[in-house]
Amino acid sequence: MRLIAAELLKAWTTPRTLFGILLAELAIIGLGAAGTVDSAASSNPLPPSFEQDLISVSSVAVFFAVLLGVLLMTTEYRHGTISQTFLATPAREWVLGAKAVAAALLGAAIVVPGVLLTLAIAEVWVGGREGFHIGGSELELVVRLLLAAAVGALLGLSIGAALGRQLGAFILVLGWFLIVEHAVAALFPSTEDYLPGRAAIGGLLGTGGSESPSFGEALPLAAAYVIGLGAIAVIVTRRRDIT
Amino acid sequence: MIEVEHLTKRFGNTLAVDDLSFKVREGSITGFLGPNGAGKTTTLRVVLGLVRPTSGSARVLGHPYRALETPTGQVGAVLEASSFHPGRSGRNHLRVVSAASGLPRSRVEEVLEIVGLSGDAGRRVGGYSLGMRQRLSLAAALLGDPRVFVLDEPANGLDPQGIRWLRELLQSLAGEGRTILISSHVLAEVEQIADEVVIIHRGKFVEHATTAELAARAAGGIRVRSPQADRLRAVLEQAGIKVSSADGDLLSVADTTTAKVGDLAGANGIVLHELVAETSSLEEAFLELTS
Repeated sequence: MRLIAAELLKAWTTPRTLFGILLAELAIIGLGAAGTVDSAASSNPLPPSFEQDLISVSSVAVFFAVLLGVLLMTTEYRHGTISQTFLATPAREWVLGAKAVAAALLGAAIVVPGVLLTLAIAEVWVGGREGFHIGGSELELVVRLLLAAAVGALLGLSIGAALGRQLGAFILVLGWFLIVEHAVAALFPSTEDYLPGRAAIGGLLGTGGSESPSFGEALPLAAAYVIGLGAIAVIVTRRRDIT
Repeated sequence: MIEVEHLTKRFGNTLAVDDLSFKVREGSITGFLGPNGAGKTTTLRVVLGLVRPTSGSARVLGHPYRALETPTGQVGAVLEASSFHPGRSGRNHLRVVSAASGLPRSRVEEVLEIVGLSGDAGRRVGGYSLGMRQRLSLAAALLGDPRVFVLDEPANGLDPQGIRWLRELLQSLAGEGRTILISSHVLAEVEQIADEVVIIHRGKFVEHATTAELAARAAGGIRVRSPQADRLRAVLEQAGIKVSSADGDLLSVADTTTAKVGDLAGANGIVLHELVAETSSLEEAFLELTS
């Protein structure tokens, strides 16, 4: 518990990182939510999928959770604080475990302001309109978002731990999720059901359409990615010289 | 207390430490000296479990550092002064270390007071001078009130007042029976505080001796001045004492003591105007050993 508290304290005492991530996320979600509400506002009553579409805008928070995971790990290497961390806790796997818990919690936490922002925009714009109702299916989507963001943060953390270098980890994450995965899916369609972004995270969110893996299929796939990358992160971190 | 045995560390093709062995005695201040690139920092990082040895071992309090149950409470370490998040305040840096080590938060204020940073503890470390960062590093090392300190260039960036403060702090810690291994390139400082010195060069062991032994070994002999220099020279050489040089009334004598030279002169009625054992500094010994 003390290690988890220390990791959360590290994030809390460098608020610029957290707030930077949060501001960027909210800016994108705010624009997306405004666009969604604007296009739905002309229909009366509102389209049946309006609430789901609205909350789905917040799924971009999962990507920011991945970046947050990368930052939580690589900031230590970038500023050299990893030496002090490993001096206090030489069992490096415990440090990674505590960071994983902190990353999952913080990754999920940054979803909440995004969802609240989308709801606030909708409330202001179409609050009194017929058909605007947040119910069980929307809450289920929020829970899926929280889970996907936690998984995303864990993947980011593992990549950050395995590489150690902040820039390299960012390039890998951005390159993979924005370019490589799309290219792989286009070139080798049979891999689409196994890719970390489209299949694992997309399946958890249920945003991939009827052809993407179901939640039940995506969950073990996401777990496999988290465990696999986590194992690599532990092995590399245990062997790494802190010079 | 600290034992390094046949330690070798290779980074790719670079041999940083080569079969190095030494022991640091309990309750002593041991200076760890060597020219730049000698392998001091690598050795200290192996001792602290941050770098894995290629072969050999390092133990603190009888265990590898990684096997210590409460390392912060047993070993305090100062590494380079740049290992801080610039956006975190000094106080928060210590709170993080304290939280990770399971130490009470009140200890943070105590060590801030000890290192004289209480007034600046709320400021971001990014705005600290190098000297303030060193003090913060020392504060982190003191958090767990450990018995052993491993300090890598702790005087770096300190002003003369700071160096004096550091000297008094280390002497006070040693006076409490704590063990200190300190690497430094400020040899005059080490000479003033260290009981023993370990010297390495190009990763290899060169010397382990007390500071006094080392200075004495590098000493230049005895200088003796007499108006009867020729007669004195003959007496000394007759007694088997080597006179290394003579210049008028001045003789340089090696491998003996001032007492023996004085006794011989007195016994032979020779007047002496000067009889001095030429001392040598640790710096001279260091340069001699690592040249």
